Amino acid sequence: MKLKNRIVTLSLREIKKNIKRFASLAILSFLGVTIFVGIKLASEDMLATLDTYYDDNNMYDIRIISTLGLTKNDVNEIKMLDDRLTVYGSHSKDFIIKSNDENVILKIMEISNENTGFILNEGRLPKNKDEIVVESAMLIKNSLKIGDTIFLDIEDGEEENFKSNELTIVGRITSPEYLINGNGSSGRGSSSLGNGKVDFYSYTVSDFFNIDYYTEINVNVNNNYKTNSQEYNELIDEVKSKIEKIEEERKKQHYNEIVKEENKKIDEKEEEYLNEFNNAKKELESAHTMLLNGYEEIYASESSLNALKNQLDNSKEEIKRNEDMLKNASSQLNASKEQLESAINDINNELSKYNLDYENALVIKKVIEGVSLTKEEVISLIPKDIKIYDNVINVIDYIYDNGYSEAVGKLINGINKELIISLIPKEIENYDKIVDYIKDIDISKLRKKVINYLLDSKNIEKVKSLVPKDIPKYNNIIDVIDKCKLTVDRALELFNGIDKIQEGYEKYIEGLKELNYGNYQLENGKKEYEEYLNYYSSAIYQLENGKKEYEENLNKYNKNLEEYNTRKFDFEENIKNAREKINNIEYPKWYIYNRLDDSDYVSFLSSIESIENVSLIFPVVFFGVAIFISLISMSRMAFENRSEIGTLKSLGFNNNEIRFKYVVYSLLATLVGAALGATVGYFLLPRIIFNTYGILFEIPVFIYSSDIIQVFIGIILSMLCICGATIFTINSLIKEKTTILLRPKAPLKGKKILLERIKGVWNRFSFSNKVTIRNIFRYKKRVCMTILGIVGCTAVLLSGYAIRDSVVNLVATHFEEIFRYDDSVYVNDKISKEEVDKIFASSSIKEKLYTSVQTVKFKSSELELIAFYDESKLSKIITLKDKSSEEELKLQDNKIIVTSKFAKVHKINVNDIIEISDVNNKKYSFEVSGIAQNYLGNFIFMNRKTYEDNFEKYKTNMVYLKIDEKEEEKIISELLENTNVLGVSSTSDTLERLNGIFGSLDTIVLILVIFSGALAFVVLYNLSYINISERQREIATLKVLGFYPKEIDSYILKEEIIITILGVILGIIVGTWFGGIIVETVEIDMAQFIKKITLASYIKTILFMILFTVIVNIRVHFVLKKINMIESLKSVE
Amino acid sequence: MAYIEFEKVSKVYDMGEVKITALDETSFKIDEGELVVILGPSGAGKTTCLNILGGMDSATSGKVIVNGKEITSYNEKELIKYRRNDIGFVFQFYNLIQNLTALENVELSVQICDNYIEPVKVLKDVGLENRMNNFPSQLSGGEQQRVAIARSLAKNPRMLLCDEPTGALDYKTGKQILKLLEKTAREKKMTVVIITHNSAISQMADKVIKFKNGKQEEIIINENPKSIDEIEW
Ligand SMILES: Nc1ncnc2c1ncn2[C@@H]1O[C@H](COP(=O)(O)OP(=O)(O)OP(=O)(O)O)[C@@H](O)[C@H]1O
Ligand SMILES: [Mg+2]
Repeated sequence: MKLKNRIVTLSLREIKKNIKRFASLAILSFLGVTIFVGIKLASEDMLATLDTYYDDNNMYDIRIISTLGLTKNDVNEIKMLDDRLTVYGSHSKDFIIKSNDENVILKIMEISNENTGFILNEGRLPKNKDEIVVESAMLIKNSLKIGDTIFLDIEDGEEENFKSNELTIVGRITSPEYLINGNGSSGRGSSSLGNGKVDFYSYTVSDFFNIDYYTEINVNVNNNYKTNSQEYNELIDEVKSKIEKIEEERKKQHYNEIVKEENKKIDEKEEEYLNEFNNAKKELESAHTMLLNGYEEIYASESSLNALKNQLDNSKEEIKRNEDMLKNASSQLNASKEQLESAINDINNELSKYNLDYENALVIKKVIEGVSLTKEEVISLIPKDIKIYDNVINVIDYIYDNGYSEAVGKLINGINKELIISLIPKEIENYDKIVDYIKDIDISKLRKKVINYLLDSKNIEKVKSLVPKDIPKYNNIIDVIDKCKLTVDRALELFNGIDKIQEGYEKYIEGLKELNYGNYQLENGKKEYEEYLNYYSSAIYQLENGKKEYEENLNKYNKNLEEYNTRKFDFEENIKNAREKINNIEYPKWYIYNRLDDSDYVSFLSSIESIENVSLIFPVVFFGVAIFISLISMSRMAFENRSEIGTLKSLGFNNNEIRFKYVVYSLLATLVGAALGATVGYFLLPRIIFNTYGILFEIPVFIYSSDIIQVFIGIILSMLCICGATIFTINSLIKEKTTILLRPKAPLKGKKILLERIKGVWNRFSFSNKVTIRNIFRYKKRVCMTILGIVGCTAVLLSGYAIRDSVVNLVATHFEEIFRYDDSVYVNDKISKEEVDKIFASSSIKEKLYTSVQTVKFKSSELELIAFYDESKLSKIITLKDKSSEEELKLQDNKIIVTSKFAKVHKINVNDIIEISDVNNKKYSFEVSGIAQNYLGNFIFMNRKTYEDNFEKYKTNMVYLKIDEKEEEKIISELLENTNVLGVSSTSDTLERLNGIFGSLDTIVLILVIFSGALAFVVLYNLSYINISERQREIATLKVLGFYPKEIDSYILKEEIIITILGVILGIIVGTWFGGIIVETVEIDMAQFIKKITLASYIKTILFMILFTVIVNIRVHFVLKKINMIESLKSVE
Repeated sequence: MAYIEFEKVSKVYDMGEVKITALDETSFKIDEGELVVILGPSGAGKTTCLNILGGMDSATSGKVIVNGKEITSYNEKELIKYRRNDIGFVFQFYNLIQNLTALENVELSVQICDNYIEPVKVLKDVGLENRMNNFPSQLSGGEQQRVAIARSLAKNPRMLLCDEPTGALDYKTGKQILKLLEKTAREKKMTVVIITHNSAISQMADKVIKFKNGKQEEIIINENPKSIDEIEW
């Protein structure tokens, strides 16, 4: 039968007996292992996570960007360099999009199988050129959602390069090309648009791009190395240098191609345009001849019109003259008419005496003169009052109508003689004579004969004489005859009048006729004149129109000619410019980036590095404290086990067998703690730390690096510390002789301490203080260990805060003390100083400092070289003070000032000569005239003269500004509108971003607080435990003596409090120093941390320690209360 | 009425499966100023009895009346007060505070009392005037026990309870201690209770209580107690 090993039983019993002691050892082991494994693995896991993320998404190893774009040939040439390379060209372009009234700059990249991939968080991939997937932050920050459409603001002249300007968001993605979390304030790299930084990235299908060159070439180097491992970096450097070797050749070829192509394009264009110009010229010339012709025509018609006008004027005059004449004639006529009329009137007056009117008289006259009468005249002679008037009229009608007029006339005239004879009475004396007389009368000449006859008075007298005097009425007859004579006279007179009127009238009629004719002719003439005038007017009008038209045509022609000339001039100028432009096409510059040029990647790596650095230091403290506490704790256990060991020895167990108990015991404790610690350290802590960085970085999947070795090292280290301490303690006991062991160990002797010699001081102490002080000196070893433990905890806690403080201070101090600008503005370096002045002319700009900034290299590290335009203005924005003496530094000609961190890293001293190289690898040597205090970044400062003496002509490309706070926003947006402003970076943004980066250290601090707190608990717990257990009898005695619990508490706790205070004070001192070391370790090359711990951190640390002490002491109070007097006093110690 | 009265006091330790009766309805009386010796075999319940009397332990049942007050009904605080004012304890193993000198040990106990005797005087009384500033480790067992007695006496208690005060001492030293106790009882008229295994000592007592199996087996009143000097063993 196999016996059980009772030594193991003893071990287990020991654990059971004092499970708290076992637990405290286990916790120490747990804490040590967790910190050791956890922080280290956190750094490894983060790297593994990044590596996997990169590998899974085909992240490029090398990226080439050329200022002139890249070609398929470039891709092929690079491909041929090494068969491990996958080379592919790709497109990307920044666009301004308007989103929520704000201009946002979106980078659109191309999706392809070869290209760097991404993780689709939501939605789907774009199917065509009108769809896009964007980064998550864009949706959040611009409150967009999947399905929304964005509108691209494509620059003028670029429309052809992109097939769509309206894209629908179909998915939400995360790309490894951008590790920094987009939800922060940081951007997505620089851009030539807007405020100079890309806000968001996105991907769409290749089809979207219609560009015949590549904007970038990505190279994947087939390898199995972890990213940023030495092998990886060497491999990439190797490939990079290979690419660099063909770079020049490629650039030259591409450049030549472009120049040739551009020249051809211009030639073609020139030809095309020249043709056009020739045609235009011909057209112009023909237009010119046409104009000349028109001019002549107008000239001719104008002169003929002038002649016409003269004629017209003449005829107008003539017409006028005629008119006048006619008017005269007319007025004459009128006058004669009036005369006539008055004559007629007179006659009518006369006639009216005979009941005749002028018309009747005329007829009568005709009758008398033997003029044949017309029918109307005949009718008018018929008195209307005769009875047979109608018959007579009818007869007359009949006669005249049947053509008898002449006959009738003759008849009437013939009848007249007969009629007259018949009228003479036959019985009258002289009848025969009368009849004969009458018969003698030539009828035809009768009228005149009669009239003449009658007119002659002698004839009348004769007539009278013919009249027989004897007839009764002789007198009457004579009277009648006289009267007749008179009547005839009158009639003659009348007829003469009538004749004259007739004559006048005829003349008048004639004149009238003439006048009418004249008038008619005048009218005709007038009409003709009018017509000509009209013709002339319309001709003039036409001429005017013609002239106008001519004028217009002339203008047009002139304008065309002018346009032609300007266009031709412009064209020639353009061609000239274009040719010049070709000459000015800058020789391409290649930027060959590897991952280390990606600032996101670098800041992730530097985070990893910081964690790694911390992982080297803190475990030392934790394991150190573990050793101290194990030593105290175990020595107490050994003491308690004294007699047991003696007994075992007396039973014949050898040292190793006895030691075995303790090995088993401590091993179990260590392993339990370590197993737990390894679990937490392996699974939990890295995750927590990674998640903390998740605020800053956007890496979707966390990967464990599976570095089990680290876990084993942790466990072994923990075992070495704790088991080692145990065995060390036990060994010293085991060596003692059995008899000594079996005898109870005399309690530690009370002793006077040095202080007691100074009676004055000592006596002043209260009684219990005396005891306390003596006790502290009595248990020197334990007190020392405890103090060390507390010092460790305090130091860890404080150094956690120190890291935070230094970082927080760093950023603020850098921008408050050294670079005191509000904004830095990149300006086009092609413009003159006057133009730069103009950009920054606003009165709200309080200070400005012109600088020329470029990146230079010293050995392998990059730093910024800043040359100042006017160094006298320097001190208003940048403080250059000596890093140790704090005295102001002055720039000297042909010497440089470097910043402190750079000087420190490269061990550069004042008066050293250092060699730097510029972008083109040209080397320059400078003497260092001073080392300036600086916190963030590495800089070389020089004045303008130094710059111009060594480099090229000074050109401002960066301006630091101090702006009136209220106006800052306005000024910046104004600046950004200026095409010569390439970008603005404001200090507050930078501050926010950097604080964001460094703020993730808070979790580290929290973890340190938790762990150092746990450690502090274990330490304080052990202290109090041992203190109480060692002095149980003493406490029991006090209880017996009737001490109240409060009095006992103060008796015991006073010691612990004093030890804690001592420990904390020492811890603060050590922690300040330790914090400094930690900060230095955590420090990254680009920054010089400020090793100054704030009062708040000291206070927080002290408060935490007080809190831990209070918590432990509350527990002590209850332990003390529980101490059983009887039990404690029963046995012998 | 007696100064101290035990009325059917029992103390049972409940150990889970077994119950150990340390005191089994013990009843006895002690008058003021009496010098009492408690005798009995190991495990008879003497210490338990003394501890209950001294207010260090509580009875399971029964009453303990001291000076008319039922201390078995005292709460924790009253017990502490009772201990600090009325009781002086002397243990077999002295239980001095190692870190304090003889004088300081005495001073420690009086610092909580109102009505104490000058520590130096007490130490003189116990014959340690020359060793007052020595630490316990610098004193012999008897001297330490004398310091312990002085520490108790300095408090000017009503009674002095001694659990085998000479158990760790040689005959001569033991005798010196007993002498000191006797002197205290007789001169100061203090009630002194001494537990011992040495029945010879019982001769010096006014009253001897014999314990067996947790019960007072016998109570003997010595009409004429001997002085310790007269006793030999
Ligand atoms: N804390 C305890 N738990 C259990 N039993 C106890 C305890 N203290 C005492 N006893 C028991 O009570 C009984 C009386 O013990 P006590 O110490 O009073 O004896 P005693 O008479 O003083 O013996 P001795 O002369 O050996 O000191 C014993 O049987 C002991 O085992
Ligand atoms: Mg006993």
